[in-house]
Amino acid sequence: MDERSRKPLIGLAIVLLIFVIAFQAWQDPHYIHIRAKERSVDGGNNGDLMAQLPGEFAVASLTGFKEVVAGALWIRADDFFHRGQYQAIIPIVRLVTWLDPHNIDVYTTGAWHLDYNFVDEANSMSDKRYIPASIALLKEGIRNNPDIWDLYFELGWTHYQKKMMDDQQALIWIEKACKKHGSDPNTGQPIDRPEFVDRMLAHSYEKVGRFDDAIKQWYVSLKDVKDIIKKEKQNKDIEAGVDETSVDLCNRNLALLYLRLAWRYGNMDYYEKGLKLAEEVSKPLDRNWEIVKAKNPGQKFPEPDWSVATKAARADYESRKGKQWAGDAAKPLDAGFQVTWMRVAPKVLLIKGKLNLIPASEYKDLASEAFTRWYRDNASATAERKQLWRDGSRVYWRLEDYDYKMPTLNTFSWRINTDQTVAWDSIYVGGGAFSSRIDLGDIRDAEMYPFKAKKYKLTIWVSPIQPGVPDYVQDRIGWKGEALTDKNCLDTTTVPGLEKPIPGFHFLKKEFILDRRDII
Amino acid sequence: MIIWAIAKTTVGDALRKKVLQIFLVVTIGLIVLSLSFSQTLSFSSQRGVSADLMMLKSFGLGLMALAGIFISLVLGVSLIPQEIERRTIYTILAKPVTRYEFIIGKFLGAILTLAITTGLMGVVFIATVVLKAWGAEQPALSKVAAQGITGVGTEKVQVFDMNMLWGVILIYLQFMVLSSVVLLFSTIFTSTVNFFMGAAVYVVGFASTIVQSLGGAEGAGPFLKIFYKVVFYVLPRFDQFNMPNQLLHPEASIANMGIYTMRMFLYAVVYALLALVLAILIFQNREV
Repeated sequence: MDERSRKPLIGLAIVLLIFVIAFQAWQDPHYIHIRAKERSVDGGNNGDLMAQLPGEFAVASLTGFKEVVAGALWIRADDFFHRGQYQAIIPIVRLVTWLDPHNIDVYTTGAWHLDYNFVDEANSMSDKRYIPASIALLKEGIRNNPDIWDLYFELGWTHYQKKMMDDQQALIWIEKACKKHGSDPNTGQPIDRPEFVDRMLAHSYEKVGRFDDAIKQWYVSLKDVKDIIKKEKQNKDIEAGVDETSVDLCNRNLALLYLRLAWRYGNMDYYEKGLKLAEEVSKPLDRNWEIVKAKNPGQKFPEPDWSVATKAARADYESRKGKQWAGDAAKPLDAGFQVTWMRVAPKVLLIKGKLNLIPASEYKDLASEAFTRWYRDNASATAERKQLWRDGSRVYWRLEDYDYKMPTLNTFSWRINTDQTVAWDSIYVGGGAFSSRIDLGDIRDAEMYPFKAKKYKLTIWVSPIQPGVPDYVQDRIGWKGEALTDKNCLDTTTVPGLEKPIPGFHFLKKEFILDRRDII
Repeated sequence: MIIWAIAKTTVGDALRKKVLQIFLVVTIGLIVLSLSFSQTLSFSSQRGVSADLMMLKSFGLGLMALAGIFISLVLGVSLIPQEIERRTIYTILAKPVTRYEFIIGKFLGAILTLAITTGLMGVVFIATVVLKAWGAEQPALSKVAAQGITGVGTEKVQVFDMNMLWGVILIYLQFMVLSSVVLLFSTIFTSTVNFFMGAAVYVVGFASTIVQSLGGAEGAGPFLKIFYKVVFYVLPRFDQFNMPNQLLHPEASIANMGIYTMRMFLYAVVYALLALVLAILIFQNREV
């Protein structure tokens, strides 16, 4: 064939190649759409596993390269995540954890999806029926990886503390995490667990009211980070300098724990200890401040906030020294908790009420004011803003089948009981009042809120534990809500979501029993 | 006429191959046998016979696809190398036959053989499903879904499902493309190399969604990204021909399976043409 007759053929080949590429570029979005829908057959969560998975992965998984396939699958799952196709991810999680049971990311991400990403259309509330699956997945991960801290911590912090707000359970798992080391993902060799795990243990003790343990843990953390820094300073390979911010972080947290124990419960020893630590933290800040001022004569630089606050707290301490003082949480506070509900449409409830958690004027006289300057900084705010001074507190509600009990799964399965209804969320409190329209009647959410039971329990409660109340409210009512009183709604046993009662805590709780007709 | 003569000879040669006949007989036998064991593979008791039918269709389409890969590869790899090894190509090219006529004739013969074998398997497959569905009843699923209750009676199962036909056509189209690629390779490689190259192209084309994900993965450098993109767009997308799940769950997505099949037909023809042109260009300059 001569060159002249080859040219048209080459030209034709190029045209055909361009067509093929252009066709692919055009066809692909359609195809992605088709495959995405294909995976959501039967709602995406009740179908058979193999029917939910792309065939190419199922075939590939039969080869000997299990971890490679698992990795490729996980990349695929990441694609689904970025497209918002969460339903498609969980079957992949199942397959990847079968293929590679030591892939920690898959357990953590899968459990996080189950906890947070299956949301309703009307309120973006997550489907709480997936929570047992999330726990089961993490526990399976722990069984497969019992010697490293990661999944114990994940179960404690992301799941129990953040999702369930059950600090007692969170503590159990974070304590376990603190007994385990880490693992280098490349070599499998043991490595130190990150410092924040131990710091989180101190915070967890604080949340459940074990203050002495919290103090001890802060000292343990402080010693550990100092040891690490000492070791790093001896290591000549580290050229960029050793990061010492962890010491500062531990000192600040420990100082604030002492100070808050003093402000809330009137412990002057702790006040003194807290101030000493706070002054320790101030020293480098003040040094830097002096250097900056010296380098820029004639310019004004404000004194570091921490130093100003510490000095004010020292003055407050001196004014109280030797006097009888029980702390701010010792003064009872009538919360005046009132709550009502009404059905405004089928499956749509309106919850509203009042909560006099802390009158704004009281902030002025709180011991913490010297340090936090919460009242003074907000005194110049507009009248409208002042009305919202109590912002930050939240009231929780939970609506569930009357006999609902969260199932315990021994093995991981993402199949849920679609006959059950359970939902919960929180309502923001502003100016001492709260109101929320809860729409569980959107037709798109019919599967999530089936309302098939005859009776329901609607519980509305206030918890003194964060995140329901911020630090400055706790400065008045105490960690455990010791100051809270209420003639109708005080509850000292437990609230929904907690696996076990917490002794010594004061909750405000109101429970309503609803008939199906009340909702439908 | 020359092209047709070559094609006819190729079909005759191919159908005489024992290995092809065995593949065909075993596949057809298994499709028929699936009539009996589909019951035991059923996972769902609520859907009754419709679940059996789904398994039967899935099994049949899967078997046809598997047999198709082997037939395409076994047939395709020997198309040109065998003629060279047996030196019959000298006799053919000594006659007034141009090289491009030879290539086109060979390709036409290959896809005709595939049409015959896929057609045979397809007819048996559809007949098997129809036989199974004939007179069968299932719970009235529409009422179950709407009312959330069971025991509301039964309804007849649809006997003929057009999706089965589209499925058979899509299977045929993907192996037409595979044959064209194998033919292109057979102008360059020996039979053994060609077999593995063809299989590799099929596997990569089938797993193109993985290729796409790898190309988009965080941490992939620009060179890798370009490489994966080229692979993704240039290699045939066999996964797009492979829609058993869609065929089994027609409610899932594709609004019109006929239009989708036509689109894939166009793609398959153009891709096969591209491979054919490249094969001609290479073979024209090859010393035989």
